Amino acid sequence: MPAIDPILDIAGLHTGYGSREAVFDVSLSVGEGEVVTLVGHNGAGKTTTLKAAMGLLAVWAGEIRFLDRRITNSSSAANVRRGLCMLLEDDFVFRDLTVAENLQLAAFTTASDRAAEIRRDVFELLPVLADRRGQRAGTMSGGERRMLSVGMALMSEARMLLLDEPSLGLAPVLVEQVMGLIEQLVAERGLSVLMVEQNVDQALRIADRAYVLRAGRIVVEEDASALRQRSQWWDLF
Amino acid sequence: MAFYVDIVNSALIVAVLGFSLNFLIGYTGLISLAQGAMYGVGAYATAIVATRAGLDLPLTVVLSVAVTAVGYTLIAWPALRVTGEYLILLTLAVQFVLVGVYTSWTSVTGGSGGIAGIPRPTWLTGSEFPSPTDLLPFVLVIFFIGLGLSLWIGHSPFGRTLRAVRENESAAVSIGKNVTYYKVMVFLLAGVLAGLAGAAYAHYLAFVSPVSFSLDQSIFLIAVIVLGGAGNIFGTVLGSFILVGFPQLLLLLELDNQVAGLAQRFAYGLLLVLFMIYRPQGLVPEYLHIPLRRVAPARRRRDVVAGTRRSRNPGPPTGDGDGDHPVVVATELCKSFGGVRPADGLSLSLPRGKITALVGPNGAGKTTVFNLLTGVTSLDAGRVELHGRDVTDLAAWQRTGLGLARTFQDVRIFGGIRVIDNVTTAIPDQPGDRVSSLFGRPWATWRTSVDTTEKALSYLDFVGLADRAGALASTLAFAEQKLLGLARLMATEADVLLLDEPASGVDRQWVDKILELVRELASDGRTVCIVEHNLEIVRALASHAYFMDAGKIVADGTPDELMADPHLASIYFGRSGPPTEDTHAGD
Amino acid sequence: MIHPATAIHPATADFGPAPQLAFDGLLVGSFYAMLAVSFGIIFSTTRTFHFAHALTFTVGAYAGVVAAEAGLPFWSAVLLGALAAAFFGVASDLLVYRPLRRRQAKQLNIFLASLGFLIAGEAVVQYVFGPNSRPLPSVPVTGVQFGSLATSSLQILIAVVSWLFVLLVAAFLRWSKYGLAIRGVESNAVLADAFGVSRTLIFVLVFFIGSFLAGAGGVLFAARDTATPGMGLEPLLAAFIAVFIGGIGSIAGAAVGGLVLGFAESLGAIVLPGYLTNIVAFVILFLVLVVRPRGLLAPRTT
Repeated sequence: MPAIDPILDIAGLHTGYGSREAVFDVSLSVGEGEVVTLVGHNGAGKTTTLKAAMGLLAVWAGEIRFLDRRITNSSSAANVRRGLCMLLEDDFVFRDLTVAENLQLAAFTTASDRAAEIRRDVFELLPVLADRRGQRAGTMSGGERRMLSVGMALMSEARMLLLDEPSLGLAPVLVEQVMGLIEQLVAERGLSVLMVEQNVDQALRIADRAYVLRAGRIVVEEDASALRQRSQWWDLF
Repeated sequence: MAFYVDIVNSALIVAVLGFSLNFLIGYTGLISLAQGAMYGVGAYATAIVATRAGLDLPLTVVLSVAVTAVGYTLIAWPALRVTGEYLILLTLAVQFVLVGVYTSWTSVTGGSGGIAGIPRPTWLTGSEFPSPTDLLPFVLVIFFIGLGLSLWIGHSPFGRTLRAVRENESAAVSIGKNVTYYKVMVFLLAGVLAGLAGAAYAHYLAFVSPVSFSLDQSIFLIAVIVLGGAGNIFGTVLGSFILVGFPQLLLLLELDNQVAGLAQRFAYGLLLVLFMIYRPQGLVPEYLHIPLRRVAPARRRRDVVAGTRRSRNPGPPTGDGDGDHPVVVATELCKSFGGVRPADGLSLSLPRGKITALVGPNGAGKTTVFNLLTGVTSLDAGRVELHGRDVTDLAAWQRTGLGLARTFQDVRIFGGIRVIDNVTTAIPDQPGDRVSSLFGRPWATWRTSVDTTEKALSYLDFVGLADRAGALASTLAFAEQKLLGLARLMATEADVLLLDEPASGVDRQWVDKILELVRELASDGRTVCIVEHNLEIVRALASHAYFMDAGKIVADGTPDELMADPHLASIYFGRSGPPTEDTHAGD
Repeated sequence: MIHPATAIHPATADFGPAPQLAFDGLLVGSFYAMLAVSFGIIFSTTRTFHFAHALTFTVGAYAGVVAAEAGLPFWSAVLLGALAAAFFGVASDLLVYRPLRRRQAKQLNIFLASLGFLIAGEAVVQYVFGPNSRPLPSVPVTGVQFGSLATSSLQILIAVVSWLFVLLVAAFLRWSKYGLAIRGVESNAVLADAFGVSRTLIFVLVFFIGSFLAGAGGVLFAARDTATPGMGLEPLLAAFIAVFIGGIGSIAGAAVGGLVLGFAESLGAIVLPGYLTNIVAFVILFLVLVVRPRGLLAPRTT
C-alpha cells in the first residue's frame, strides 16, 4: 500500500478477452506522485490490467477508482478528461500523422488555448519533437517515437500515466533516456505512474514499489529497492 | 394446380442453384456475386447446343455441367489471391462481364431477345406442350441428383474440411490441409451444381434470356442462402421455397403486379438486413441438434496415446527409432522482415521423447522459429530436417503430413463447427477428404466415417472433453479450447509437436491438467517443443531449453543451468550489473 | 432496376476524335472522383463495405428532384438533396451497421446486410416515386465549345462542383480538428480511443460527409440524366472500384482512381466495341489487384 493517498486504486479486478479470463482478482494502488511497476512473464495479465484501468477493456468484476471517484467501466474518453493517459505497447503513435498532428490529436480533449501553451512546453522539454514537427511519425526511430508518445501524454494534461513497455525495442542508451524523462516528469510535475516493463532492472530503478504478476494473479508486492536487492528474479517469472 | 406446381418446380431448381452457392458462402465462406451469371453459363450451354446442334437430354446436362464447372474454376484462380471486399468486387466484375456478353454477343446468345425453342424433355411426358405437372418428374430428378450430391459432399470429410477452412485458414494448414486445393475444388463443385440447375432451367422454360441471370438473381440467391441458413443443405431448400413461393402468393392477393414485385423485393431486402442483425445463422442453423452417432466405448486412454502416434516418414534407417538421433534438426535459419531479424543464423535440434523449451525475452523471435520450422514463413536461408529428410522446400501442410504439427498461442480452434469435427477433420488420410476419393471410393468413405468418429472421440476423451463433443467449439471456455487444440494436434498423428504457450491464459486448476497431458505426450515417445513465458511451467516441463535473444540462440542447457547464468539474467531482465553497484534508485 | 449492359455514362451518339473523348473522360472522371472520395472516406475509416451508398445517392437525387419540382432553385435543390442524403447515410450507420458491429458481425454479413438494405430501399423509392424516370426540372443547359472540344455548361458545372467538394473534403481532413480525428481513427483506432476520440462519433461524422457528397452527386446526376430508382448502382460501382484502384485510405488515390476510370471508359470506346466499354473498369480493377494489390496510391507501405 502506498504511504500517501492513492490516486489510482484497483480492487478485486477480474477481466479478459472474449470468454478468456486473463486477470484474476488483482488489487493494487498507486499513490499521488508515486511510480509503481508491474512485472511478470509475458501473458501474466499486466497489459490487460492497464487496459481495464484506462477503460479500453470491460471490467468483469471489481472496482477501479481514480482521484477518489469510481471509474469502473467508464469510457476512455471520460478517463482522459479526468487526467488518465495510457501509452500503448506497440502502436503508441499515429504513424500516418506528422509529429505536430500527433500532439494536436492527443490534445483532443484539451481546450485549444491550453493546448497551444502545453505544446510550447512540450517542445521545450523535448526539443527533438520541435525539430521534427513536420515529419511523419511512422518514419521516426523507435526512441523518437517513444519521446513523442510521452509528449502526447503531456498534451492530454495527464496527471497519471499508464505506461505499457516504454523501453520495448529501444537500445540501452535510449532506455535510459526514456526512463530519465519519466523520472523527471514525476519529480518536476508530480505525475503518478503505473508502468508495465519487461526490463525489470530499469523499471525497479525508477519505481517506488512493484507488483509481480504471474498467470493473472499478483504473487508479490514489494518495495522496489527491496525487490532489486534480490539475488535473482527467475522464480518470479 | 399448374400454378402451384410451377412454383414447386421453380423452387426446386432454385434450390439446386442454392446448393451450389451454399458450398461457397455457407461452407467455405467465399462470397460470389456471380452466381446468377454462372447459372446463365449452364443455361446458355444447354440452350445453344440444344437449338443449334440438336443435342438433347441427358447430353445437354452433362455439357452444361462441364462448361460451368470449368468456368467457375477459372474464377477460382484470381479468387485465391484475394479475400473479403476484393472477392466481392471480383465476382461482381465477372457477373457484369458475363451479362454483358449474354446481352451483346447476339450471334450466339440471341442478345437481349434470348434463345427460344429449347426442347422440353418430351421423353418423360410424351406431350409436345407439357404442363408444369408433366415436367415435375424431370425437375424432381434434377433436384434429387443435386440434393444427393450436395448431401454426400456436405456431410463428407471434404465438406467438414471446407468448414474448417472457412473458420481459420492457418489452423487448417496446421492440420495438414492444402487450402488452395479445397478452394479450387469448391469452385469446381459449385460449378457442377450451377450447371445442373442451369440446364434444368433451360429445358424447363424452353427459353433463356439475360434477365434471368442478372445481378438481381445473384442477390436473390444470396438471400435464399442467408434466410434458409448458411452451411445447411436443407436450409437452402427451405429458403428456396419461401423466397420463390412468397411473392407468388402475393399475386394471389390480387395486388397489382408491379406492387407485388416491389413488395417482394422490399421483403427480402429487409429480411436480409434483419437476419444479419438478429439471426445470422438463418432459419435452419448449420448444425441441427442431432445426437452424435453412438459409437463403441472409447478405447482406453493409454491405447489412444500410444496407438495412434506414428512417424509418418520412416526416413533413413538411422534416422528413426534411435533415441540419440534428433528428430528435428534446424540449421542456420535466417529470416528478416524489413530491418528486423527474428532469426539470424539460428540452429537447434529436438530429440525424441523429450520436452525442449524455447525461452528468451519478449520479441526474441521464438514464435517465428515455430513458423519457420512448420514452413508457415519461408526461410531466407537455412535448412530444416525432419527424421533426416530435408523438408525445407515443403509447404506447411505437407510438413504436417510428415509428422510435424503445431498449436497456436491464440488456440485458433474452428469456433463455428462442433468440437468433435475440430478433431475429426485433423485425422489424416481419410477417404472422402479429397474429391477423388469422395467419388472414387464412396464405399470406403462411408465405412471409415464411423472409425474416424470413434477415433476423434477417444482423443477428446484423452483431454477430457468427450462429453462436449456435440457442442459448438466457440462455446467452450478458453481453457477447454486449449485442450481441444491439443486433441486436434494429436489427431494429426504427428510425432513432433510444437506447442506455442500451451498453458498461457488459463487459470491454475487447468494448468496442472495441461502440463500432465503434455508430459504424457512426450513420455510416449513424441518429440515436444514448447514456447512458454511462464518460467515456472518451463521448469516443470522441459528437460532442455534454448535461450534466444534477437534471433539467435545464445545458450542452451537445462532450465536451471540457464537460470544460473548471470549473462542470461541480464538479457532477460535488463540487469546490467550487480544490484548493489547502483547509485540512483527510484526513491 | 439494374441494367448492366448500359454504359455507365450517358451514351454519346457518335464518337468523336480522341481529344474529344479524352475531354469527356476528364468530365465523367471528375464526377467519379467525387463519388470515390465519398465512398472512400466511409470505407477507409469504418471498414464497412457500405454497398447501400448507392441508395444514399438515389435518395439524394430524389430529394433534389422533389425540391426542384416544388419550385426551389437549382442550387437549393442540390443542397437539400445532399443534406437529405447525409442524414439518410447517418441513419443507415446507426440503424444497420451499429447493431451489426455491436454483435461483432463478420465482414461478409455486414456486406450482405448492406446489400439487403439497398434492395429494400430501392423498392421503397420505386413504390413512392414510380418506376419511370424523373427529370430535374428547369436546369439551365447551354452548349459550350472550347476550340474543337464540345460539351454542355452542365457537364462543366458538374466537374467543377465535383472537384470543389473533393478539395473541401481534403482540406477538412487536413486542417480541421475533426478531420484530424478522422485520420487518427483511420491510422490507429485503439490509440485514438485511448486519447478520448470517440469512434462512434467519428463514424457518424464520416457517414455524414460521405453521404453528403453522394447526395450532391445524385442531384447533379439527375440534372444531367434523370432520376430512376436504380440509378445509384452503376455510378457507385465505379466509385467502389476507383477506391480499390487508388488505394484505401487515400483521398488522392480515390480521386485519381475516379479519373482513371473516367478516361478508361471514354477512351476505351476507341478500341472496344460499345458493349464492352462498361467492363473496362472491371478489367482495370482486376489488373491493379493482381499487380499492385494495395492500390496505386496506398498510403502505408508495410
